[in-house]
Amino acid sequence: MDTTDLPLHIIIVLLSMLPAEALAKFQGICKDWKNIIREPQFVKEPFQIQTSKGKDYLLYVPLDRTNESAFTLLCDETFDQALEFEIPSEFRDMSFIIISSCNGVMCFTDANSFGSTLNLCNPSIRKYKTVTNPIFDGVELSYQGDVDFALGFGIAILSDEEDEATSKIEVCSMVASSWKNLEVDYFPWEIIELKLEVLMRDLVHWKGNYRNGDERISIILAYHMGED
Amino acid sequence: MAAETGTPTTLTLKSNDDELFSVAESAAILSVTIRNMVEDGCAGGVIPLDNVDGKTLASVITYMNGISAIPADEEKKKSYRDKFLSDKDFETLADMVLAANYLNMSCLMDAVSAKIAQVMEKKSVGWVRRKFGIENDYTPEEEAAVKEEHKWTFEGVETDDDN
Repeated sequence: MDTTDLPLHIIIVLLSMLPAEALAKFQGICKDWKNIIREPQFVKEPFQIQTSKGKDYLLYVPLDRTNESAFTLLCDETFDQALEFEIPSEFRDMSFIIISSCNGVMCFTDANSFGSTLNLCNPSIRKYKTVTNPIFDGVELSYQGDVDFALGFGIAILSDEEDEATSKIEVCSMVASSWKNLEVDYFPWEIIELKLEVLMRDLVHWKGNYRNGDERISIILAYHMGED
Repeated sequence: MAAETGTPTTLTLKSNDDELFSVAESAAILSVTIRNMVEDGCAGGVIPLDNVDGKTLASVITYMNGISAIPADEEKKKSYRDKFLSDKDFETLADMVLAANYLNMSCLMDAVSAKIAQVMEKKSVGWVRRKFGIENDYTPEEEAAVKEEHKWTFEGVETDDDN
């Protein structure tokens, strides 16, 4: 046949096997394809395929960025270079602290002003987003301040249209990762270890310590991002 | 069924353009569609496969025979599949993915889908539209905006001379 007329479910299977770069490009094919690619459920499927293949990458961040100005992703099994992407010029002077990454989106902050500016980046589609001065309960986060805080980063798929529009940070993942106010009435936990958060099933978990008299109890804090 | 008599049972498959093919039942039941027919006792005479043409069915039967001759060794099966698909053009692959879907053959379906995705990956938007028979429903302004948003993805796109 000259042209194929593949049913929609086969098109979806084919698209789910394509890398993010090709998906970004093929949004230009027609509106139907764009809608499939931008569908949050679609984003979950290729992600599951990727994880089932067990592909993991290490991120190489050059310390001296006068000579090297690119991040490099290395495959964790072979140490082959998988992808190199340029660090945007405004980040070149920064001391990176990578907070976490999730679904291919990386969250990092400047060590000199921990938490006051957060940067999100998706290397495979080369999109960056900066969140400046996240405010929690009216208190601006800054390293010098009196407020103890921890940062967590993760992804929640929201179904609420309005919410999605404001918190969507990249093309083909409907990622909700806005730094929302998290009001906690009673917060007895004394220390939360920074950078120790783990994301599972839309829940961010932190390790914390709870002081009960003289006894210190380690606990796990969980925060559900989808329903704050 | 075959196992009871000890002699291999042969099935006759008929394509939608009336070509007949003989295939060992043990190979043909890689297709869940055919297996169900055999188990339901509907495979006595000729099995009509209304969604598959003769050229594609011949190819699928080559695959059925080839893969079922390989003992349970995933590495060898994979290399057989890679070799089997290596010389197929896009149209053949598209016919095969439809046939694999209709015949419910998951291993062929997965392999052909992956191959098509691999072929598509570096192609231009225009190539994919042509091959998939898709009409561009963007206005020129909308198309320019989508392109602008993903400008960098057009680096490294292959030229379209290859069919």
